[in-house]
Amino acid sequence: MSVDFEGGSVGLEGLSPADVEHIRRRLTEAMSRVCPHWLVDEREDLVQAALIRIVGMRGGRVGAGELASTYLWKTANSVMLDEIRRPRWRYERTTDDGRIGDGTPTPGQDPERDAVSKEVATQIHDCLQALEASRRRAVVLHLAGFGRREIVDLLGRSLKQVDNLVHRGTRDLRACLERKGVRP
Amino acid sequence: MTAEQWTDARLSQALAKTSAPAAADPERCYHADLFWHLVRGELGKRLTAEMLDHSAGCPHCLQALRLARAVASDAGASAPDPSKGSLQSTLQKFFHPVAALAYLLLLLLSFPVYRLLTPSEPAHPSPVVTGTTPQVPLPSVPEGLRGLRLLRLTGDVAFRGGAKQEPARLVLRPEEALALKLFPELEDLPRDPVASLTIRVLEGGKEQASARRQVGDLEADESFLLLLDPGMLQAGKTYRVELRVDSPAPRVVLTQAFRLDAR
Repeated sequence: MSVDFEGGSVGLEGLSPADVEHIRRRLTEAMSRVCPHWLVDEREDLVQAALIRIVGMRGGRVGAGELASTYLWKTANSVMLDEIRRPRWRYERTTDDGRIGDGTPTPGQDPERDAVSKEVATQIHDCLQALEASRRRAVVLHLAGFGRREIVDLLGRSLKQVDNLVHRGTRDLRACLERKGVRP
Repeated sequence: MTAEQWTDARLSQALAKTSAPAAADPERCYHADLFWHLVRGELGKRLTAEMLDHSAGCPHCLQALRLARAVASDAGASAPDPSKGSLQSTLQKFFHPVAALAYLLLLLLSFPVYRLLTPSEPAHPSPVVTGTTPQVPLPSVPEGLRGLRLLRLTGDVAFRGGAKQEPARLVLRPEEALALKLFPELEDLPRDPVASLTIRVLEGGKEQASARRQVGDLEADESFLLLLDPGMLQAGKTYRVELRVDSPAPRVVLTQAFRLDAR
């Protein structure tokens, strides 16, 4: 069994095709939910790179019984974030003349829309930072996709408290954006 | 158009679909593994709060948080198991005595302060370990974990009649905790990722600390990590560390010793 990539392939001794497909599918599902828009075209490559690195780190010792292990997914998280961040720094690198990026727009990139999106995100982050601390933490988790129960466990609050924090926090966030004149 | 049209979904999308502002400083971002542990509820409340506060203003870390949540969710490992209860009860399963837990929490709390106060310090503390124990280069230390003295112990089981090994020697600074990284031979470990292991630290035959691990807890560098409360360590004493497989057949797969020298 092997994983093909540009320029060669990596052997996956001890893994059945079903094992590899299982890992690949779950990595793809995770990536599809978090991949930034400017990397959408590279999503499959990112999954492939993560898969190769995971197996490489284990020296081909990944076995079917390990697929559910915490270690594997922790590693997957780490390598996927590395892969996401790598092109990000390249994209955002400030050139000598003060421009951002390498000057080569990706296909479908709309510089004006990107600039607006970036400005909106910056304003949201500014407003998040201005929230009262406990509300801010609950809202960050909420907007990052965490469910109420997860937030309860992570913040050590009751469900009712979390409901209040999220409700009041998002209300304050919207009010802040309104004051700034930031609209969807 | 009013601000009420900012639905939660739109807010979330607006944060997710843009690239990060150039002003964000990647050097200040938290390590990916820390987000993994955050999502699993394995960090102290203060460090969790610090990371969330930072993520509120940092697109890079907010994305790392979302990624960790997505991956952990797919792995069926997101969010702590409610049956585990609070963070403290979770950690108490792993760290004894209570002083070790307290120090770990203090250590985690101090990490943002170290990061802010000592930006020019090298990211990897210099090893103080001396002695004849084979030394392996220090691993990459996750960002922010300054104040930790890392001691890597490889898995040479002492044989009866064999040459006696001198313990590794080290000195701890007042603000440092000791992190033991145990490198057993992978072949000695059970294949079952949920197989149970016990790490014991003994001094003069008396157990000073113990922690349970599973094979699946192996770090990326194929080690098991154990944080020790420096309050339980005394200068001039030699401590023995054992890594024992509990099942199916109990056996010691790594034994090593270290000596704490006076500053």
